[in-house]
Amino acid sequence: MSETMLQIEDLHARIQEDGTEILKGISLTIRAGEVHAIMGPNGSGKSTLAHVLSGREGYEVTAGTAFYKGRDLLAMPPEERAREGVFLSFQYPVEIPGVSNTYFLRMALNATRKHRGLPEIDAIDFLALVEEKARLVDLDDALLNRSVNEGFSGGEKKRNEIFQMAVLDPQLAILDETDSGLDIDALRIVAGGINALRSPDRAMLVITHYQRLLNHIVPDFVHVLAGGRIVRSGDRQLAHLLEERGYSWLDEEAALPVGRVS
Amino acid sequence: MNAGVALAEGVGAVVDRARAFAERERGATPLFLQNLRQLALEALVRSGFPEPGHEEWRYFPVAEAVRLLSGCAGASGAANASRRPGARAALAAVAALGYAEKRQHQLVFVNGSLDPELSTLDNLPKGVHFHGISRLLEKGSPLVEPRLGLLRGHQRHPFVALNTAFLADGALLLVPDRVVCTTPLHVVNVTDGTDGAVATHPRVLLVLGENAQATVVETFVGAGPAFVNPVTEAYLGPHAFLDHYTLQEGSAEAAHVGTFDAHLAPGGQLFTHLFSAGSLLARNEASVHLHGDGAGLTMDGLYLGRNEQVVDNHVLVDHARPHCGSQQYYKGILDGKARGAFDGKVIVKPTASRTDAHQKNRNLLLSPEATVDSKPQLEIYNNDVKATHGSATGRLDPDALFYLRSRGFGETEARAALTLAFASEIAERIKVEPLRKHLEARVLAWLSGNGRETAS
Ligand SMILES: Nc1ncnc2c1ncn2[C@@H]1O[C@H](COP(=O)(O)OP(=O)(O)OP(=O)(O)O)[C@@H](O)[C@H]1O
Ligand SMILES: [Mg+2]
Repeated sequence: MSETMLQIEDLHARIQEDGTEILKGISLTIRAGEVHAIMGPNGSGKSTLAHVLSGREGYEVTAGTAFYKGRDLLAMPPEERAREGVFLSFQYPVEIPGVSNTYFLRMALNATRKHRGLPEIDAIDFLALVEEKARLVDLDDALLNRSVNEGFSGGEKKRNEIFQMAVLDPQLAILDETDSGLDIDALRIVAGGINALRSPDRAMLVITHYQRLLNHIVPDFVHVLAGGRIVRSGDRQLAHLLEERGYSWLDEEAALPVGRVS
Repeated sequence: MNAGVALAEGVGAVVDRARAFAERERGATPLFLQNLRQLALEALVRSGFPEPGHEEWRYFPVAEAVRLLSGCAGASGAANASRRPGARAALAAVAALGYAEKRQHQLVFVNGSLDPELSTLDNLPKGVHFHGISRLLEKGSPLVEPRLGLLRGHQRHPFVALNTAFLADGALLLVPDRVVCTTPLHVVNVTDGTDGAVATHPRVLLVLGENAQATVVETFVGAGPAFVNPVTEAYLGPHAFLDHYTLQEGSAEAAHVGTFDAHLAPGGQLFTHLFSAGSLLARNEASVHLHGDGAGLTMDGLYLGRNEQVVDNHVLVDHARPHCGSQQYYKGILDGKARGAFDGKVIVKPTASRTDAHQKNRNLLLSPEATVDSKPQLEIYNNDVKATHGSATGRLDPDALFYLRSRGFGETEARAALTLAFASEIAERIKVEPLRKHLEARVLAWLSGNGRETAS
């Protein structure tokens, strides 16, 4: 069996500021090569899970564990998670005026390379890499020299996230609503980019509201997150079911947390 | 000792010193300069140094600066000053700046006196005067007499008066009508207080004729305790263009009280850039008088403070004629326990219809103890005016910090990248490329020596 990339057990987390518990016992195991989709109503805690996994401040883990390739993920500062190969594609990518996209990406890439004991990337190689990956998601060259996400359209921001992912070459990618804000053609292109990055040694956690994305990126597992718990897990058929029937039928089933289905 | 007593004693000591200086020099001084020094001294005796709470000096610890001044020897003309170790170190720093390479036009003053060996003046455009003024002051010269002190700063401003009372050397730039100086003209002031605190009163006189153009860079570096009190007067003829830079990188033990005064004729265009990172106490004052129709002014400022530094930026823009435009954009970055201020006033006089005036100040606080006072002010006495002003003070955006860290930036790197981005908006507007590069490098160096743990 392939390597376990991410193992979450009974994860509880609350908002630091007011103590509201958002994640109420999440368990999830993702192995190398797998794509897991997480669906669920607004406010159910999907982005919170993504943030806790990538180390954003403002949340407090009150119970449970998360291991990434056998290492305690929650003990690492965010940059170490990134350098170790965890990538978060933001639901709302942040605009950073005054920091150029390419400078940002070169710094990011070199931080990861240094962490892995590799020398800084040569300027020409970097340019070639950037060009290749920009083509992958059909990112306009002009955006490369602009400030990070500044004035980008919603769709351009999402493309930029996947472009970054392609350059940084992570092992665990958490994609938080990468499809929202994309038009139909863009969705196809971005999904194509994501698919191109699917590989036996990479895992993905894809957060989405729409079956549409999952037609392009066919998941191995689908989980429903509601009220801070995974209330149901299944294969790709579950996504179709949700598309047809919404989330309310799950309540009627008095759903219990379901562990890994395999 | 309370501030009032310190100030009174400070004035007394300084005035005595200035009197002695005037006496000593009397034989070698033409009448116009004797008079000028005398007028300045009288004005200083009348006004004294600004008391605590003085409206124009609210954000500057005058008493502390005057205490530094009182501890200084009258340093003017210290022989061989540039051979001393501190000055050599400071000069090495100047050399490392890169923008002040030998082939450029540069005047280097060490502890207030021109050092001819370090200065280069080759290949100046025809008719351009760019040199020290000590000889002109000794002999009297039509090049300086009609202009020096014409803006009467020495009558109104205690530190300009102080500068004038000790006036002995400085730089003159005179660009005749229609002459364009294509390479920047540098005035470098090195203040070396390592053998004992020194006070210097550098003076710069800039006169640009009709349609004349020039770029002037004034740099201040130093070592050891010092009181640096520079005054620059600039006169722009009709449609003259001056791009003026002040790089204040004085010693961490120094007080820097600088005054820039400019007068613009019709169509004159002035662009000022202030970069203030050095000195323990820094006052960067600029007054610009738009006294000709259609004159234009852009003032950029970038000031950095850390540890116990104080940096007080004081700006006055005087719109006296129609169709003039002015814009100021000052940005400050403050860390440690530093205190910053932007106190800027734009006055639009009744005679200044169709004025277009904009003022903007933004500050970034990097530590919980850093503070800033931001006071952009408009005083408008004419209805036909377009004017805006704004100020904002904030901290690094936590979302942006997390975004960078989630991509592998360390916390220090992420903070540095965002801080540099804040500064680069001003740096990018510098047209002289080596200067822009220098400034960016300086900001980076400042940042790397400025992790939160090193800020005391
Ligand atoms: N930093 C925070 N401060 C206060 N409340 C927060 C914070 N982060 C999340 N929440 C709250 O936690 C709940 C879960 O939010 P989260 O963003 O994880 O939902 P989501 O499942 O991603 O929703 P959506 O589908 O709308 O993106 C919401 O009620 C949200 O308001
Ligand atoms: Mg969300």
